Formats: sequence, structure tokens, C-alpha cells
Amino acid sequence: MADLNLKKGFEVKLEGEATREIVNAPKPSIVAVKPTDIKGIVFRPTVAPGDEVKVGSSIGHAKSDEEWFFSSPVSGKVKDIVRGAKRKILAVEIETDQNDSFEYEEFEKWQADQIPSLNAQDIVAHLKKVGLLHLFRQRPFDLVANPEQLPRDIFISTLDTAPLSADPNLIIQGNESFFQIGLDICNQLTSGKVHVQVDGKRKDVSEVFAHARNVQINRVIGSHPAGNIGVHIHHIAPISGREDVVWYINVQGLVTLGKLFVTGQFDSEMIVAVAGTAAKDRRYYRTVRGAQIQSFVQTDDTVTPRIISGNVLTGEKVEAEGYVGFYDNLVTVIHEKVDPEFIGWMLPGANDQSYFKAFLSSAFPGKKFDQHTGLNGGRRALVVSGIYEDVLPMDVYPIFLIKAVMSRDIDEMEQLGIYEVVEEDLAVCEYICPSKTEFQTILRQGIDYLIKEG
Amino acid sequence: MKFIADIFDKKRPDFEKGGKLERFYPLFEAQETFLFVTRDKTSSGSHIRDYMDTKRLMSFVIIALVPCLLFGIYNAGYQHHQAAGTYDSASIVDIIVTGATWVLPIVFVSYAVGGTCEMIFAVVRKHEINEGFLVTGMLYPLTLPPTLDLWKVAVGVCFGVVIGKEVFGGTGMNIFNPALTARAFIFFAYAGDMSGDKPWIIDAPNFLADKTENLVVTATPLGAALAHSANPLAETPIAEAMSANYSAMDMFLGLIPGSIGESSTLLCILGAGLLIATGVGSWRIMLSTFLGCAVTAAIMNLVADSPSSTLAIPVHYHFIIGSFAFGLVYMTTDPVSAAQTNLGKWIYGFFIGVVVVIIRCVNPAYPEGMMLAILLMNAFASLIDYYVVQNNVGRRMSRVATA
Repeated sequence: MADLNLKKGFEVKLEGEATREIVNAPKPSIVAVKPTDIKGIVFRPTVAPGDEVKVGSSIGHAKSDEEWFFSSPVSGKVKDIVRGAKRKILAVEIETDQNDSFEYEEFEKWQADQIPSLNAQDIVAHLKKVGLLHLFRQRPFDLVANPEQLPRDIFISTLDTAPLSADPNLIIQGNESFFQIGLDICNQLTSGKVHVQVDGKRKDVSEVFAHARNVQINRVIGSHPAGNIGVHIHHIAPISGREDVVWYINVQGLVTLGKLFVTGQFDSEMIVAVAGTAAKDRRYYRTVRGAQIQSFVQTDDTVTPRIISGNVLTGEKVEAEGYVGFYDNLVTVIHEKVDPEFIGWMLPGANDQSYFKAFLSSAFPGKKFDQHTGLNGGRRALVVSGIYEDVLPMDVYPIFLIKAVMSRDIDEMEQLGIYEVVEEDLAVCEYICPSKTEFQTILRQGIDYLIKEG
Repeated sequence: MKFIADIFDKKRPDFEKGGKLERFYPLFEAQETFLFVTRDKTSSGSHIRDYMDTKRLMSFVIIALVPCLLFGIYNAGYQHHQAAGTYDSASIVDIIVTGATWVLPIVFVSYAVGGTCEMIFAVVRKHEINEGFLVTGMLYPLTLPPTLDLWKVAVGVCFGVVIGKEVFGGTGMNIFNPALTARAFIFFAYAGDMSGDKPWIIDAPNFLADKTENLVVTATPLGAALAHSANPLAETPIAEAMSANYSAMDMFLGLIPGSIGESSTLLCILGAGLLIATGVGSWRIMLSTFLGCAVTAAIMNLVADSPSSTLAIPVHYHFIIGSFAFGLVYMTTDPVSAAQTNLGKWIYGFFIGVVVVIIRCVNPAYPEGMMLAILLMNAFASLIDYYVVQNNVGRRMSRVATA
């Protein structure tokens, strides 16, 4: 067991948390599989509009490996294959059938006690066939798990420190046994350890997290990004280079995995919290992976909403007609900035959240804020130093890393720890930056460059 | 305020790419962000951003400097009336008016000329106008004597902005603090205007020409210290010589001759409080500079061979004389020219404290060492960071080797 008591970090406090109750969302009429969620592969669709699919039916495969499938989360009819620039596939849209329940593809299944006898190659092959290997992602670089290279360790974070995040302890309720089976499967996938990080401060941590079996449990205390998998890996078993691969999977991914092996079906159920001040009926919704946003998210009509699949720091902007990301258990809706704030930089700022204690708001610790999408300042040269390290609980110098990325110096990027961070880890640096530097975009450019050139 | 926003919206196309005034976009951007912070919304990455921007950041430094400026105006008038012997008959209004008529034009010239240089570079180099100049434009005049000719003020600030900053690539890239670069230029180019006893007193040359009885032009405490230690016959402790004209309390409060804004240690401490409380100024640098100075001064005291030597300047005098406090609070903490890593900041600050005492005590040429100490450590800041970062790299590599 490793205990991480992380002092660095910054909690972005927002109003509009989701009420802690899970309700069933109406069945979405359209869902989508977005290959853009699955980083690191080129997706080749094998279905055409009009084709009938079941839950678990393959809708396409990886360009690099024709045995590596991706499956449909619902039964129904393929509606469209949406392409973007250079004919890149953005989404495969599927119209769900209107029956009460879905039709499922049946896959091989095992008893829970048979899991320890499975070997890693067979599990990977099964996941490729079922089209769910992408439940696993890997570090470095935050790509979909590569079936050619088994992981050194597998990491699972059961705490989410991001603003307005969905609480895994609530989401897991009712699915505890599948979570443990998921962990058992992970144990077969790696010759190393399975690490489960739990919130070290909360008293009401779910039993299945706190007493997960056959894994190493690590207690983590700290502000965001303390819940990030990258931070955990950095402290518990750091990544040494490009070949040192660690996989990770989120809580609901493990549940899906566990269910798949014992029931033989892909249960695409997904609990998604709806939060943010511009959302109505902020609750946890039981829907399916890739559900259309407007099937369960209602926005406040009096403002211009910005809908984000994921959290406000790292999520993706989507429209009401868009879809929940494959890995997202949260939809945040905040309001777009519309009114100019006259000489805002001179005002006391009782409602302005800041890392700096240069606003009246810092006189009210614990206050939560209703933040809009304003950039809150012009883009400028990087001037301030020292603050970025204070919000990154890692032994990494973010500014020097970012400068190495800007100068495309691969040696420096490697030395300064580019294998250990991905965008979400630097999101707080980006949030607090008074010069409004795009840390996440720059870092991803660096990672892409490294993948291509290194 | 909607109508102003509308005007900006209407004019915006002219200044954007392809517009007829595209070249002047930086000026448009500067005005627009001045009035409305920014109209921009987040587009990639984090969807929400901290409310702090560089404008507000810099304005907190300005706020912290305002007391120094106001007191500098008063002190300039006070020193003049004291020296001219008219203090008893002068009202506080007279004192402030005298001070203001000499000090405010310097501040104005600094902003106007420096700001123009900044704007020309922004337009030519096509970058935004960075707010850092708001601070430089205020810091620089506060480090000058109130009697400096305005054209020299202008030459200095041009040098500071152009050579100190823009030739390195502009804000964020400069090695030396632009305000101190400007001051150093004036200090060496027009040494007579920047040192000795006269420049600190408004109109002093005129009194001296008069040779009237009641004229008292007194040396600054540092000047007195230097003169005293240079006198082989002097035997009294150096502190006595330094406080012959001014008590330690005067020095702390700032009623001593000196550069416009730097004389009051008390107000610098207030400014430090604001900068540290808001997180705008680095407490690490301030504390480590203070410690560096204290430790070195204490060692100097121990090795002093005679009580009249400059080595024997009492430790607490170092904090209240000259520009130590002002430099510590406002100059060392310039985030661009200081070390960037937090460990580096400790080292950087400590050595500023060390070097300032060495220059003051060991070097007979310059009575004041703060400016040179900071500029010297500015030059080393990148090197310090380099080793701190290499240390981090080493840790990462050794971890990999053992893993």
C-alpha cells in the first residue's frame, strides 16, 4: 500500500453539483460511436447506413488490425457515418430500436471463479473480438491500449477530483461484484500489479473500493489533479519511457468488463452525471454509452449554454445533438460568456474565482462560483513563474516541459517527463495561467510530435 | 457600456487580418482588453479560466508602489525645504507642491516615452502590448533622483525597454530587469547625476552656489559611511557616522535623501505585504534575499578589523539604508528576470543578499549595491534554473535506472 498525501494542486470550486440520486434516462433515439474518442487507431467502418446491428455487433475495425473490432452499444439501425475533414470518420450514428429492451450479441462467458485461469493473450483476443479492448487506455501518451504489448501494471482511480465530478462511490452502487470481477480480469492481464487508488480522506468510500481483493490499494489525499491516473502512476510506479506501458481503466469500464465476462453480453449501460449551473435537473442518469446529449440533458433556456462532455477543465465541447464521450461519466453545462465586463480587471471581484488572492472572493474560502466561458484576459507572453509547479503534484517542471515542446526538442521533452503527463494533468496549470497559455493543446502537439518523430 | 462594446465590435474587422488597419491590431487589442478584460471565450482546453490576467497582476504591483511614489513626492519636497532652510516656514502643501513639480514630470516622461517605445515594437513585431511595462514605467522613475534631467529620464527608459527587453524578444524573454537596466544605463552614463550628495536634493546646486550660511546639504547614510571609512583617522564606530544626520528611525521611515521611491523601508514592507498576500510577488525571493543580506552582514561584522570600517555596518542598517528594501520588494521579484523554479528562487534571492553586502562593504567604488547585485543575479538566474532542472532530470533518470 502506498499512501499519497499530495500537497500541491488547486481545487476549482463550481456551483451546480449533481444531486446524489440516480434516475433512469429515457432511451436515447440515437447513439454514436465516436472514433475520435479512441486515440491511437484509425477506424475503418464495416457497416453502412441502413444496416441492422445488435448490442455488441461489430461496426468497424482498426486499420492496423482487422481482428480488432469496435462494437455497437445499442441495437437498431445504422443511421449515418459522419465524416469530417479529409474524410476522417467522426461518428457512426445508430438509431436505436424502439422496443423496451435491446437485442444482444451473445459472447463466450465464464464463471467468476474461472477468471483466474484465463491467460492474458486470450483475454486480449476476446476483447478485440467483442470490440471492447478500448475500455483500456495506456500511458505514456494516453492512447487506446495496444494489444501487441501487455501492460507492466494496471491502474484504477476511484476518486475523481475534477470540478463537479461524478462520484464513483455512488455510481458503483449495485455493480460492486462486477467491479471485483473486472479487477480479477486485470490481474490476469498484467504480470505486474493492479493498483486501485481510493480517496484517503472520505469516510464513506465504497466497500468494494476500500477492500478490493488481490490488488494493491493506495490511499490518495489532495486537491485536483490528485485523482488523475497520471499523478498516481508518477508516485507509485513511474513510467520510464516509451516502451514502459501501463494500462488504466475507469470504474464503469471495469463494471462493463466484469459483466461482459460473466454474462457474455456487452452491457452498455452508463451512469452519467449532469452538472453545472446552466443544466436543469442536475442528477445522475442511467443511460447508454454514446447517448445523444439531448436525450437526458436539459439546459437552462435563459442563457446560452456550453455543453461539455466531461469536466470543465478537460472535457470536449458538444452540441445538444452531440453525444457523450465513450469515457465520460459527466456532462457539464455552463453558460457562455456574452456580456463584456467593463473594466473587469479593476473590479474587486467578489464572484471571480482565482488561484491568486487578488480578488475579494478570496475573503470567502469555500465559496463556490458560477463561472462562464470567458478567457478572462488577453493572451500574453508567459511571465509568472513558480505557480505552475504549485498546482501540479508531480516532480515535473511544467513550464520547462512546455518550452521544450514549443522548441520541439525531443531529448529535453523526454528528460523533463513528457512520458508522465498528458493534457489532463496540466489542465490546472492552464486554468490558473494569467497569460492564458494553452498548456493542454501545446502538450498534445508535443506528444503527437514525439509519437511521429521519436 | 454596451454602446462602447458595440463600437469595438463595429471597428474590429478593420483591425483584424485583411482589414485596412490590421497593422495596428495590438493597439486595438490593448484598448479593448483595457475596457473589457477580453471579449474572447475559451475555445480549446479548459473551458473556464482563472479571473487573473496580466493586467490585474501588474496593477497590484502598481498599487503596492503608489505609497512609495506618494511618499517620494513628499520626501523630495521635504529634503529640499530642509536643505534650503525653509522647512519651518513651508506648509505641507508647499512641500508636496515642490516635490510634485519635480517628481511627476519624471514619472510622466517615463510612461510616455517608454510606452511609445513599447507600442512601436508591438506594432512592428506584431505582438500584443504586454502590461509589464505598466510596472517598468513606474519602477524606473522611483529609482531615480528627483533632480535628473527629463531628457536623461527619456534616454534611460528607451534604453531599458529596447535594449533591456525588446532585443531579447520582448516581454517574458528578457534576461535583465528592464527598469534596472534603464537605471544602470543612467548610472554609468551620467554618474555625476546619480551619485554623490547633490542629486538627491532639489535645487541643491543653486544653494551651493549661493554659499549662504544656513545651507545644509547632508550626505546619504551610505555616502557618509563611505566617507567615514575612507578617512584613516576615523575611529568612531561607522554606525555613528551614518546616523550623524539621520536616526535609524528616519532611515526606516524614509525621511532621508535618496532616490524618489526607495527611501522608506516602512512603505516597502507594506508593499511586500500586499504582494505576498495576493500571491503576486514571490515570498521565497523576498525572504531569501533578506536572509542572504543578514547572514553576510553578520559575517562582515565578525571579520571587521576596525569599528570604523564599512564591514562594521550594523546588520539592521543594511535593511534600512539605500535601496535594499525597495529592490528586495519590487525588483528581485520581477518574475521574468528572476529564477523561474521555486528552489532556484531561494538560491537567486540569497545571493542577491550576499552580493549587495559585499558591494556595500568591500567595494570602495560604489556605496550602493542593490542595483548591481540584482543585475548580476539576473545574469545567473538562468544558470541557477539550469542546475535545478538538471537535478530534476537526474532524479527522473536515476529513478528509471533503479526501477
